[in-house]
Formats: sequence, C-alpha cells, structure tokens
Amino acid sequence: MEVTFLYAIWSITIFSLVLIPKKRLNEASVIFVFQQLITWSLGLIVAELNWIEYPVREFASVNRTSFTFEFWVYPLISVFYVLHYPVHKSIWKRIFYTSIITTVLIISEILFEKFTDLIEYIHWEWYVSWISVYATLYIAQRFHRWFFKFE
Amino acid sequence: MNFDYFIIAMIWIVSIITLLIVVPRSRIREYMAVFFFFQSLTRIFGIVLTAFGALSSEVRLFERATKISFTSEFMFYPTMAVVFHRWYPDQGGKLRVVLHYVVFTGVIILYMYLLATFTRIMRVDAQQLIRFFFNFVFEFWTCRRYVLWLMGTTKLQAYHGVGGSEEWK
Repeated sequence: MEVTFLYAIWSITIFSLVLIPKKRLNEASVIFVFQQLITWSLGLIVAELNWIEYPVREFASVNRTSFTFEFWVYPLISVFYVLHYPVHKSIWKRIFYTSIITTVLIISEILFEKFTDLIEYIHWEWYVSWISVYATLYIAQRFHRWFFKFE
Repeated sequence: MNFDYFIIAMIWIVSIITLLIVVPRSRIREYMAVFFFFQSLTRIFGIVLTAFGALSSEVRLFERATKISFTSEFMFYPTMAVVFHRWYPDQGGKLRVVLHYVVFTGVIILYMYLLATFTRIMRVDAQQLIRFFFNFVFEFWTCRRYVLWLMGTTKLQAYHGVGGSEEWK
C-alpha cells in the first residue's frame, strides 16, 4: 500500500508541474533548490538523531531520510506556496495563508503517520512538525523576495 | 580516525574560505543559484551512485542517516562549481573551454583519488574515476546552462538600485 501511495504522490506532483506558469519557472527553480538545501540538512539531522523514521522509503540502503518528501514533494509544495503568496495583503492574511497550508500539510502527515509505514514519529510531536514547516516555508518566501529583489 | 575527521573539518573550512574569497558581493545571487543547483545535482547523483555501489564512504558526517559523503556532496563539489563558474572563459575559444572543463573535473577526480588513497572518507576504484569524470563534466555543463538561463530570464543585475518593485507577477 505504501508503494502505491508513493506512486500516486509522484504522479500527482509531476502533473502539478503544469500549474507553474512558464514565465515564473525561473522563480520556481530558485525556490525549489533553496528549499532542497534546507530539507537536506534538517532531514539528515532528524534522521540521525532518530526523531523520525521512514520505514518505507526510496534508496533505503543509502538514506534513512525520506527522499520523496525531502528532495521532491516538499520543495515543490514550497514553490506553489511562494508563487501564490499574498504579498500585498495585510499581515494577518499572510499569517493565515501560511497557517492554513502548514495545517493541511501537518494533518496529512499525521494521517500518513497513523495509517501507513511511510513515516513514524519516534521522539517527535506533531507541533514540532508544524513549527518547522511554518518556519521553513516562511524562510523560503523571504529568500525568494530577497533573491528577486522585490523589496 | 581522528585524521579523517580532521580532513573533513579542513574541507569545510577551506570550502567556506574559498566561497568568501571567490564570490563577488555584487553577484551573490548568481553564485547562490550555482551553489544550490549544483548541490541538487550532486545530491541526486550521490544517492544514485551510492545505491549502485559505485561510491562509498566509511568516515562521514550523519553516519546513521546517510551513506553518502555529506561533506563532499553538500560543500566541496558545489564550491568547485562556484569557482568553475567564476573563471569560466566566456571570451575564450573552444580549446580554452575544453581545458577549463578538464582542469576543474580533474581537480575533483584528484580530490576523490587522494581521499580514497589516504583516508577512509571515500572509497572509489580507478575504473570508477573515469565514469566520475564524465559525470562531473555533465554536472558542470548542466549547472552552467541552468545559471545562464536563469540570469537571462530574470535580469537580476538590472534591478540594482531600483528597489520597491511592486509588479512581480
């Protein structure tokens, strides 16, 4: 069942690429590789300290981290998050936007944790995930604004 | 053991100092793109090549979490890509460009060879080194295409001094 999920996740995310406007592929690529840098280091720390385990994963012989999530899915989610970020709205709307996306992500993570072997919390709580996702999304968004000199 | 970790620390220090010296402040974004994009390439190649057994690392950071050489893939190779990009012979002829590729890929191969011979940070055999040579030529080339495309699309330098650009859709 887990492998089916992985197939589904890869298919959906690959198809979702068409939703990125061609003109903004440059922005998307920068957000993507930047978020990869963050997930690479944080993912390794989390796996090294045995806080989270991914029993079913790709390249299981090489990594204890989740390749699908850290290399592909999360950077891609960050791309969509940043490209649709309501820059000119009030601060409360922006916080609301980030919170909603973070919450949806964490709810799906909890469901995966409970019902599949894709992820297991060892020494971990859902709110740590919530905070780290919120923080990394925010950092990616700030980096994007700085990189393309929108401010 | 201790010697290997000393070498790992040295690789980090030398790479960071190299980055600080080599990257011009006014073009920091461009070089960040080089660095991050190359990291992405080495990460995927590192994982795949390790999975197929072409590469292994005995002494490494994050020993439990990964079998790839984090120090090399995360820091050293991307730093080399930055240096590669910094002195790329734009105005040079074909021969200069080929030489540029050979020299930089050669440095990486030498690095791998030295680590494999004198430390336990990396394990590769001589035949694999030839494969890695072409692998890195490909990575350098891809990275260069990407950065040229990125700079062409965004005109990052042109925004200098304008600031407060409201229209960004």
